[in-house]
Amino acid sequence: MLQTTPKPEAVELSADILLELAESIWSSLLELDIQRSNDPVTEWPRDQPLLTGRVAIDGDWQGSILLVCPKAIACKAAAAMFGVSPSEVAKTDLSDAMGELTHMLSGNLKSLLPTPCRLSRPSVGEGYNITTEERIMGQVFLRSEGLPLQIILFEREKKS
Amino acid sequence: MKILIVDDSNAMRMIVRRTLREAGFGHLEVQQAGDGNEALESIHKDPPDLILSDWNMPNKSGLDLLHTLNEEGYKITFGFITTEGTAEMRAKAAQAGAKFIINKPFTVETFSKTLGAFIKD
Repeated sequence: MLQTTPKPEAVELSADILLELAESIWSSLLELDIQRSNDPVTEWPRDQPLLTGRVAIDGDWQGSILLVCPKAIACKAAAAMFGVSPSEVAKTDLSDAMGELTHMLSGNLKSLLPTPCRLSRPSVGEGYNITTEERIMGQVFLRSEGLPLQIILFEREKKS
Repeated sequence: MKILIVDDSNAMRMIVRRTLREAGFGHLEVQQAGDGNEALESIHKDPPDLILSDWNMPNKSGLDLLHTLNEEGYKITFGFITTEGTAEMRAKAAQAGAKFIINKPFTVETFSKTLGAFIKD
């Protein structure tokens, strides 16, 4: 059970909370290993594309939650979800699985954010794109199946 | 007994089906729909005994689906399987007549315990 108190003025989530949530999803639905990485990811694998799942949060607090990982991790997660081998995962299923993982992370984090707030449908794209209008309010670096992944909570700067 | 799974994620529908099997409900007939509108079409043709619905879906949400079923006079056992289990949502779900909310991620044990009360052999 996640325990924290939402603070409307300063939403900050500890890496421990993000780790606990990721562990819960990975162990119960994917049965893949996941652990905290001792070092931040400074270099992502160059031999495969990165995928980023994003869910936007709107309401009293505005921001987004991102799940970033190499395609191989997303492929293994999708394979686990669909009960097939990673080589059999179709592109649409890969996107569906990545989106659902991001949505699960976001939905569970929602209760820790100021209310009222709404979650967008998840979007999934290639690459690692963060705009300058976003501020990191929480993040954790993880490793699954020997590869890095990252979960980040961003706050969107309000335009004056 | 028939179960209708409503979720816009094909991956999640697969997981729900698998978890139903693992929880000992593999003998039940399972139908699927990708959103509330699709679910409504399916229900009009062949009403299930139990609906397991996501909350946040395009076109017609799970809560809107439940409201429509109430307006149309259906008495089908309805439960949510959702990532969002805030107190506000739980209150809305209960007020609309939902029997339970299962949070994602879930376990086989959660399915056994929660659905066991509603699934008759």
